[in-house]
Order: sequence, then structure tokens, then C-alpha cells
Amino acid sequence: MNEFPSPVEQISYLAKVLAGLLVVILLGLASLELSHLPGAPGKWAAGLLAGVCALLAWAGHRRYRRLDELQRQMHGRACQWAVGLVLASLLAVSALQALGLASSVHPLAMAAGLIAAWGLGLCITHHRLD
Amino acid sequence: MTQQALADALGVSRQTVHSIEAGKYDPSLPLAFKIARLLGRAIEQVFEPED
Repeated sequence: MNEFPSPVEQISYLAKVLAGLLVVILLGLASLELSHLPGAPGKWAAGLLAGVCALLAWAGHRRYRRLDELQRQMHGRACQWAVGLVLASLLAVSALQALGLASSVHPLAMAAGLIAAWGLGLCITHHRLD
Repeated sequence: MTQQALADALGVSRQTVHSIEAGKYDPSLPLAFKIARLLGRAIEQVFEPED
């Protein structure tokens, strides 16, 4: 009764993860470009970006509600990992900044770090439970 | 019964069934009762408490 996911399932899962990462990267790049857009177009673009982010948050919430109890627990633990790692990193960077040893951190770099920490947490939890 | 068939009957993922079988995940009480009911056994016949 010990079955492993088929190659098609594995590729499908990997494709979903990569597509999600691509969307996040594109949103990050778009938000960087927004600072160069002056006036009304810039405001429209910012509004559009905020709308896309809200849509993504809503889709994520819908997806979360469809997860079973183990999957919810895995994502919960991954979030705990992410929060813990990012908090520790922020404290370390803040201390270095106070000493003048580090420059300011771009918010996008923080967001990337948060996603990376979440991914790492998810991998570790998945490895422990599977 | 395959893991996928059991997972479909329980309304959970195949990974959850696999983790429960492997003893790496303790299901919630409602899910444990559901599993026992589906297998036609008492819950204590399916799950053993760890002492």
C-alpha cells in the first residue's frame, strides 16, 4: 500500500511551484518598475498591481480552505519557520545596521527571504512527514 | 484498497494517508473516527496509544 506519486504528479507539482515563483518574481519586478512611472499612469499601474496582489491573496485563501488537516499543519509549520528565520535575520541585520556594518535592506529582498524561508520550512516539514 | 482510494473516501490527500500509515502523523480525532468507521473497526483496533 506504500505508493509514491507518479512522475506526472511530481512534474505537475513542480510546475505549480515554479509558476507560483514566476508570478511572485514578476510582481516584484513590476513593483520595482512602478517607481519609474510618473503621474497618472503610475497610479493606475500601482492600483492594478494592488488588485493583482489582492486577487492572489484571495486565490491563496481559497486554496488553503481546500487543504486537508495534514497539509494545513505543514503550511502552518512552514510559516512558523519563515517567521522565525526572518525575525532572527531582521534582528541580526538591525544590530549590524546599528553598528554601521550593514546598509539598509530592500523590502523586495525581505520578501524574497520570507518566501525562501517558507519554502525551506515546507521542504523540511514535508521531509519529516513523508 | 489503495492509498488513493482510501484518501478519496476520507476526503484527504494521499500523502495524509501515507503519513498516518507510516506513523509519522497522528490524525485528528474526527479523522481517526472516520478511518475506523470506514474500515469497520473500533478506533482502538486501528490506532494504538503510545505509552
